[in-house]
Amino acid sequence: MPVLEAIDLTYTYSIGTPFEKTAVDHIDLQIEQGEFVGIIGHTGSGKSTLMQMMNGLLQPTSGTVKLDGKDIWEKKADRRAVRFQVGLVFQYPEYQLFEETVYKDIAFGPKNMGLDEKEIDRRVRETAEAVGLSEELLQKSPYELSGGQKRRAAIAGVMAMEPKVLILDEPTAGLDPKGRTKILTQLREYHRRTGCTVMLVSHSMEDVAKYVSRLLVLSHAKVVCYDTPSNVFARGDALAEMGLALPQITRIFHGLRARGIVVPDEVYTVKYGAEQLLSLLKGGEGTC
Amino acid sequence: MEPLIIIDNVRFSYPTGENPDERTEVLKGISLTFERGELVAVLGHNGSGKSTLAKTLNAVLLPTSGTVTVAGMDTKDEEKLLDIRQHIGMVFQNPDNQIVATIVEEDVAFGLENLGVPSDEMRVRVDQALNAVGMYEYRTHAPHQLSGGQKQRVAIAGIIAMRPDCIVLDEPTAMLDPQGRREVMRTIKLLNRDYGITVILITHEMDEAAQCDRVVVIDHGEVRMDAPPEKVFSHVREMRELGLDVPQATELCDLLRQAGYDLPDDILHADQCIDALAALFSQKGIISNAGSGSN
Repeated sequence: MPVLEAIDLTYTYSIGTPFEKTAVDHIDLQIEQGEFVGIIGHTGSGKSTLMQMMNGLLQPTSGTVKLDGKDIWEKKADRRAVRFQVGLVFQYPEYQLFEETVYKDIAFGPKNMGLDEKEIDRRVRETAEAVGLSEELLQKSPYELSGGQKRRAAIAGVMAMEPKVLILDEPTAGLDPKGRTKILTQLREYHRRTGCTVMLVSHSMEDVAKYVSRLLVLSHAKVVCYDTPSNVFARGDALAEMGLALPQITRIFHGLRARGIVVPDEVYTVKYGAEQLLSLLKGGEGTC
Repeated sequence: MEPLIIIDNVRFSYPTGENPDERTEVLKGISLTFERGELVAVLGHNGSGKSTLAKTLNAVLLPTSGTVTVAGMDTKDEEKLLDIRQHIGMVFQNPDNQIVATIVEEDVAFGLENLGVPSDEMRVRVDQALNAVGMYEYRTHAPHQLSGGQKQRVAIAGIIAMRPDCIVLDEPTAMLDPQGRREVMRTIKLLNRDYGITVILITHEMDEAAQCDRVVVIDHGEVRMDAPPEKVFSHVREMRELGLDVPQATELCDLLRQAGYDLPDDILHADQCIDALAALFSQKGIISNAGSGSN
C-alpha cells in the first residue's frame, strides 16, 4: 500500500471569478513508503498546490488524498494528526522562525504534539545534529544564525515531529553551491537513517537528479511522468520541449548521440557520464 | 581612457561584540579596476565578501581603509554622493523589496522623479527603459501581477532609466525560477552589448559567470582569481575548494584529461564539449563521421 495516494485530484483557485485557475488537474499518483522523490516543473505547474493538498493544508476541489489508505478529508479523519504525519517545509522557511532560542523553535512542533519533555529533548538534539547545528547554537537566538543555519534550523523543526513523509518546497533556493550540497546530503542521510519518505520540490534538475530515487515531472497541472531519474532523463527531448532545463551533462550526451556516437541517453551525473565515455574510449566499441 | 571604477587596497571591517577593538574584517585589501563596457562576474560563496564589495562601489558602504574611485570621484567625497549614484545603479536580490509603485511605469519613473527630470523627458526615458528590458507591454500592469523575473526586469528598468554608466547586480536571480533567470541574464547581456552599459554581476551561480567576459573570484575578502571564465573554470579543484561549482562540461573534460585523453581545458558550454568529444572519438577511430560535426 502506498503511503500517500492522490486519486483524480483537482484543485481550482478562485472558482467562479475571472481569475479561476486549475492548478492541479485530475492527478493520480502513488508514493510508496521510503521513496526519495524529486518534484520538478515550471512555476505554475502545480507543484506547491499538490504538496499542500498532500498534508491537508488545502482541501481538494475534487478527488481524494489518502494517507496510509485513509481519506484525509473523511468526516472523522483527524487532520491535525495528518499534518504531524506529513511534515511540510515551506519555501524560505527561515522567515518562520519565531522563538527566543533555536532549541525552543525546533521544540515547537513536538510540544504541540503533546510529547513529554524527555522525548522533546531527544528529538530536538537528534534533529539539530542531523542538520549540523552544534549544541551551543541551540541556546542562541535564531537571529544570530547565518542564513544557511537558519534554513537548517527551520527544517529541523519539521523533522523533529518525525513525520512519515517529509515534504520540502525548494529547500535550497537562494543558497550557494556549498550550502545546497550540505542540505541535500543531510536530507539523503536523514532519508537513509529514518527510512521515511522524503519529497523534494526543486527547480534544479542537476541538484535533484543526484539524490532522489524517483522524479515526478509536472507540467500544466498534470503529471508528465513519475519514474526513476534515468528513465526520466532518457526522455530528455520531451522535457526540453516543455522548457525544463536539462542538466548540461544530459544535453552533452544527447548531442553526442545526435553525432552518431553510441552513448547512453539517460546520463545525468558527470561521474557516470565520464565512466561511460572512458569505457567507450578504451573498448573501442560502439561504432555507428 | 581611465577605468570607470578603481578599487585600491580596500579593506572593510565592522565591530563585533562590545569591545570596539574587536572587529571582523570582511574585505582584506582588494584592488581591482573595471573598464567601461565590461561584463564582469564577481563570483564567491555566501560570506565571501562579494556583496560588501558591491556596496562599496556606489558608497552604500565606505571602505575602512583604501579608496574606491568612480569616474574620477572618491566615494568618500560626500558632495559627490548623488553624482556617484547616478553613475552606478544597484539591483538587489529580492524583486519585491525594490518595487515601490503600484503601476509598472510609475515604478520605473520613481528614480527620475527624484532627480527632477522634466515630465516629457521622463516619458521618453521610461518607455526606452521598459523597451530595453522587454517589459513595455506591461507598463500599465500592477507589479504584484508579474512573475519574479518580470519584476526583476522592472527593477532593472528603473535603474537604466537614470542612464547610469554601470549597473551592479547583487545576486539578481537568486530568488527566481529557471525561466526568470534566463530572462534576467538575457536582459543583462543585451544592456551590456547594445547599450554599452558596464555590468558587474555579483553571483554564486557558475553558469551565470560563464556567460560574462571576465570573472573575479572572491574568497574570504580577497581576490583569488581574475581572468576570462574559461581560464577561471579550468581550475576545477581550486574552484571546488572555494565552495564553487564549475560547468558540468568543464568537469567532464577534466575527468577525461585526468585519464590521459587530450582535450582542451577551456570548455564551458555543451556545444563546445560535444565538438571536442566528437573530434576525440573520430581521432581514436571509434566513429568515422562525427569529427567535422555540424560546425
